[in-house]
This record gives sequence, C-alpha cells and structure tokens, in this order.
Amino acid sequence: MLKNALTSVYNFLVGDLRILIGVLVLLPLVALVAQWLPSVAGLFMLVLVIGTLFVTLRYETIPKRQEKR
Amino acid sequence: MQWATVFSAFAASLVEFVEAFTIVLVVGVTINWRSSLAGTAAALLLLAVLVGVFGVSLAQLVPLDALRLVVGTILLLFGLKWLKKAILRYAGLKALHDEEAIYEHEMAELRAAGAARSNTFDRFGIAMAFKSVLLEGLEVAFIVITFGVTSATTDAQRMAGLNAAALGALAALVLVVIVGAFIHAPLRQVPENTLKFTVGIMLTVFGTFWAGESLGINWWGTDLALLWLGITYLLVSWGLVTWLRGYAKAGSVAPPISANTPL
Repeated sequence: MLKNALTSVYNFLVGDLRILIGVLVLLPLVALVAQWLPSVAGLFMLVLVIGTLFVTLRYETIPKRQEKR
Repeated sequence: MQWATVFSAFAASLVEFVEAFTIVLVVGVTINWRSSLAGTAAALLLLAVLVGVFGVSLAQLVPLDALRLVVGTILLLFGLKWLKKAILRYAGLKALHDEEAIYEHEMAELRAAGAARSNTFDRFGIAMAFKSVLLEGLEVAFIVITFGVTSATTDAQRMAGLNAAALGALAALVLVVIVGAFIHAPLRQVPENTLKFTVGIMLTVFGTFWAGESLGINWWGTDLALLWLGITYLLVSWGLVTWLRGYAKAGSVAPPISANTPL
C-alpha cells in the first residue's frame, strides 16, 4: 500500500527519473555558483535545465526505449 | 489618498497577478475550469486565513525563498515533463493525440458513467492552480504590507498606507481578470499539442525563474527575465524538434493513439 502511494506520488510529481535526477543535481550546483559567481549563475542554470531536457530526449531515441514506449 | 502607494502597489501586483493568472488560465483551457477554479479557490482561502491570522506580521513569518524553491522545483519538474512529451510529439516520436477521436471516446465513457467531462476534478490541475495562486498571492500580500507600512510613522498613516496599497493591488487584479476573460475564448481554438507545448515552456520558465530566485540568482532584467527565458526555451525546443525528426525519419514508429495516454 505504501509502495503504491509512493509510486502514485512519484508518477504525479515526476514520472521521469532523468528529469528528477537532473533537477535535483542542478539545484545545489546553481546554489553554489550563485554564491561564488552570481553574474553567471542564471546562465549556468539555463544551461543545466536545457542539458537535462536534452539528456532526457536523447534517452527517448534509444531503440529499446522506443519499443517499450 | 496616498496615490504614490496606490500606483506602486498596482504596478508591482500587476506582474504577480499576471503570473498567477497565466497558470490558472492554461490549467483552465488545457485541463478544465473546474479544477483550475478549485485550486484557485483553495489557495485564496488559505491566503485569507494566513492574512487574517497573521496580519502585517505575515511578511516576517513566511519564508518566501523556501516557498519559491519548492514551487519553482515542482513547476520545473512538471514543465520539463510536459515539454519533453510535446517535443516528442512534434518530432513524430510519439503519436499526436487525435483530439476529436479522444474527445468522443472520453465523452462516450463519461456518458456511460453518468458524468460530464467538465464535472471531473483533475488533481494535477488543482495542484498547479493552487501552488501558483498561493505563491503569487503571498507575494501580493507582501507587496501590500511592505508598500503600505514602509513610510508610515503613526498608526493612522500605516492604516491609510495599507488601504492605499490594497486598493492598488485590487485594481491590478480586476484589470488582469478582465483581460483574461477576453483572451480565454480564442485560446480554446489552439490545437492541443501546441497548447501543451506552450504550457510546458511556461511552467519551465516560471520554475527556472522562481527556483533560481530562491537560490540567489538576480535575473537579468528582473521580471523581464520571464520573457527572455521563454524565448530561449522556445528556440532550444525548436532545435530539439528538428534534431529528433532525424530519428523519426530513420524508421521509428509512433505508438497507437490511446485515450488514456497521460498528457
């Protein structure tokens, strides 16, 4: 029951592990850069968000993933 | 009347109301108005309770940066998910919803279940509207409190300042609702995937902006950053669609249409 509830919350909030990992990794990195190099932190965050999207989409082009989908 | 306070609060609140209303509007158009309005009503109720209980001390009690981080992160997660699916559909790697067929299928199912489409609550839609209205509503409350009490030295001045700031915020809300009422009808004519793509871009933009602000980023152009972030994501998404079309042409087959496919 707990597993079902957690799966349900995960599917509702994310549904894609790569996006979750990407966002959870980028936030502390951006916080760090914002502290030391505030002038480039915005650009850095933009690049990381785009990178997360790119990696997620790249994964979708793997043949096995396409068959599964 | 402190007209300077009225105009300052109007201008500042207008930006916040536009941000909240944009998300309420897209949830209403893409999911349904019932969910959008339910989320909005719940957020307004919580806001009223918070303001009623804490009054002007609210500005010191609520950690706005923490709230921005949570809401921004969730919007970023939702936004990237929507954007990914919309890009895959545009590229031909995921089937486009056959909107009319799905609509008919859903209506037939709902008729069989004795319910109408507009009567179904959608938890995603409610959550999106709730979070956005709560965050922006709190920001407006802070604007009213800050602008209202900043220059006051006596209780009477403070009360007059709060009234003037509240009037400015109210005028901004009325303006945003009136403009929104005019533009929501044309939005319904836009194809489903185009709307979802746009919503994905917008959620990602707001998520990036709020999460970034909470982490200490001073966005270039402050609120104007929403515009250039949107343009950047739009251009990048266009590039990604072009890139992925190569994979679609190389022989991948889009899956069959399913009425139950999320998004």
